[in-house]
Amino acid sequence: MSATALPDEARRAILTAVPEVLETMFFAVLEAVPGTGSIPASGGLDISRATFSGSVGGQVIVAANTEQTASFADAFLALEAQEDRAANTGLVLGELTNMICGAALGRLWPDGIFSISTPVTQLSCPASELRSYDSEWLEFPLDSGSVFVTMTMEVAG
Amino acid sequence: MQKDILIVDDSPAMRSFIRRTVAIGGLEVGRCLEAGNGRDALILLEKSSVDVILADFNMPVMNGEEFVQNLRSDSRLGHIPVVVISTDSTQKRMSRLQSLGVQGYLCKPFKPEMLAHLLTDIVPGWGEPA
Repeated sequence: MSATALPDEARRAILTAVPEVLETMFFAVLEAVPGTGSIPASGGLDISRATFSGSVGGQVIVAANTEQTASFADAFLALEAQEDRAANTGLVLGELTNMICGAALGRLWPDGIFSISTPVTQLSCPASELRSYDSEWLEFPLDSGSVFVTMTMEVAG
Repeated sequence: MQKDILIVDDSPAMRSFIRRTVAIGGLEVGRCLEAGNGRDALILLEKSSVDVILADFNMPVMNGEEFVQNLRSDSRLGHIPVVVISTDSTQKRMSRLQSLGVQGYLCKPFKPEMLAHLLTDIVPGWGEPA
């Protein structure tokens, strides 16, 4: 099954928003040029989904492997203890998703008004579930694995 | 000089990040109160006063705009400076919040030093030697 391509403007917005969020607030630098990617065929990924409404409705989904999301939690909260990391990984992935969503929307519709829901996060989601999404995933390679991001939009008629 | 702050954000992770960022910025904090939404923040403020409020916009129960509206209509609390820290960087939102009397607006993502600069501009004497 071939995925539905992201609209060009959404693609550009995500490709510029994600590195800015990662570098500024998570102190993570891309290891390679981001672009269209494929969700791994097997294994599990931590995922987070933020829905938005207002001028336009839709959702942003962010997925990454467990090692990478733990690394985000360490960087964002300056964690040192293993138990703190386990408790905070989901919360930090949700915050990352929230920021990516807001940064992308601000680029796409600078004059829009949006409400972004509290992200819903699921840890160790089977990759096969994500592969069933009929939308293009953008891949952002980092040192502990890639971050995958996609967006769907419903523009009111 | 220590200042008391209130962080209003539905994300515990973001509250923790803000708390740490203020400290890293060299600003001494006395009491650091936290609330998960605007309504809980107003309840906290019934018993405790603070020198500055750092609030998210998108929150359940009572969002940042409703919170600021309630705050500004309260003669006892209306003077407290408010900084909104939000992912929402749209011009309309920023203009609307400015018209409500929000002193500062910081869009996520932001560099940690930007928060300290904003707070020293808004809160008199903060960051200066006691």
